[in-house]
Amino acid sequence: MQNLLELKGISRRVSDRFSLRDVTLAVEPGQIVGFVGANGAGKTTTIRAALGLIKLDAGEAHLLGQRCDANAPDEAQRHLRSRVGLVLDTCPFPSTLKVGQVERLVGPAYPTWSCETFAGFIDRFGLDPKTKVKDLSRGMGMKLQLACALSHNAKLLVLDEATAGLDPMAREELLDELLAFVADGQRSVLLSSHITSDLDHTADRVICIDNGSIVFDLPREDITDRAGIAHCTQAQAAELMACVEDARAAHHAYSVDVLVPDRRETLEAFPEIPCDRATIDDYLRLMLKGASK
Amino acid sequence: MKRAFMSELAIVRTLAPSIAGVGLFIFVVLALANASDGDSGMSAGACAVSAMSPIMVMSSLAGFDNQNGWERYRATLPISRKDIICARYLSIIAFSAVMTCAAALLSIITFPFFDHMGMPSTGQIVFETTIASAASMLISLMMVFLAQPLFFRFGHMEALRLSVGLFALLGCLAMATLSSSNPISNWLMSIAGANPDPAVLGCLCAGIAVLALVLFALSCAISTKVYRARDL
Repeated sequence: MQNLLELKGISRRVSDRFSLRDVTLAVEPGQIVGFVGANGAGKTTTIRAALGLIKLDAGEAHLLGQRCDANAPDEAQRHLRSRVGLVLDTCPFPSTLKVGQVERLVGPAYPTWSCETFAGFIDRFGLDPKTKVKDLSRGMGMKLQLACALSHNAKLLVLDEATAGLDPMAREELLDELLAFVADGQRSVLLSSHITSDLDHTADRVICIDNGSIVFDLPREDITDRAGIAHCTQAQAAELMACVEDARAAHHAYSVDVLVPDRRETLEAFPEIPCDRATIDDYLRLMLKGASK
Repeated sequence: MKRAFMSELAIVRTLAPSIAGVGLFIFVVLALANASDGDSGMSAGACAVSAMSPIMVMSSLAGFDNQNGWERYRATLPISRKDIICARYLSIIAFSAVMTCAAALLSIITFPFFDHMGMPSTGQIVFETTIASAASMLISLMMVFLAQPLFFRFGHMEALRLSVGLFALLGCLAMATLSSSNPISNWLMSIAGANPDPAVLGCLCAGIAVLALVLFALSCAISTKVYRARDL
């Protein structure tokens, strides 16, 4: 089956200090792809590039198998964007509009908009149609965006830092919605976040970007099930680093954490070194800040 | 295009009550203040409302664009940037036309209530009020057409500063053109002065409309070009 979103070697110089460099990623049907990285690493810029909001210096962006970057024809962009739902970190609707009026703002743009679906989500999410956008809490604003994103039969949901600032219950609700969205295996989610714990149980793949370049693109199991964090002394760390390919070390005052790609192998080879499962947070931290061989 | 216009209308609808409220207040104040000037004074309120509506709606809509990232979100909707531009121009024109009609109608209806000179409400007065309101709207729309590309290029705050400078410059030029020593001013006063011929007024208004139409086409083309090139 064709990828719902595919970026092929996209590059874009944004400023003297920041550029997207040869970013390649793919979102397959049925997947939730976590897109992680530090603040300012290039997550939002990549999403803007994917949605044709910025021009590219090089590379191509494809949605549902068709070219959709800023240079694509209007008609193609219109068709492809009607299959994408977007949720941003802040509720983007004009603040004086009421929840019920947002439908009149967004609905007419989509040929496949369903008023019944939107009304259903508004009701399910407990949103009052008479509340003004400016009076919505962060969580409610996110739910309103999600209602819009899910009311036009989107194939791909793109969430840009949508979980930032949400309480754990609201985050869990959102993640449940995302899991339900991809359950049929035809639709996908690209979830950009720097709260990596959201992805520990929901993501199928995790892609990390740093300083405008992709650092890793791995199945989530390779991180949370396969990789491990070995807690070593200085001497053990030196030995481990010498033996294990792609290990990364982070030095603390009295110990060293070493990221190993295969926890079981490490435990077999070094039974005296305790080695825990890695979280995406650990993996990200050590990949970005850890020292290699 | 229709989809973009419908979406734009959803915002314009929320603006209408507040702009209409301000317009009504200005209308009443100007009508009362100028009532002693007879029919020309009475149309001042309608002219003021007609002139302020395009600028107010342009500025308000541009303000919403830059609020909460709406402009970026809108760019991800299945609407082309060209349609967004066209819908913006169309909604400003439609809103201005509605406000102008309402103001002119209000002026004509309320003429007997504000008139202190006991002048009868004749067809001539109705015609002059209508023409004056339409010309005010068209001149204001021309200013909007001049400023609108700045809003699409630089965003609300920056464009507001630039357009105030632009309007000040245009104001100086208009004053210089209409000063008593200027031949253009003398010619205008001779054909549309104290007792203008309705045909001349109609021709003047049509001339302004043609000029506004040309500016509209140019402005729309420039806005589309700059907005397409802009990163959102």
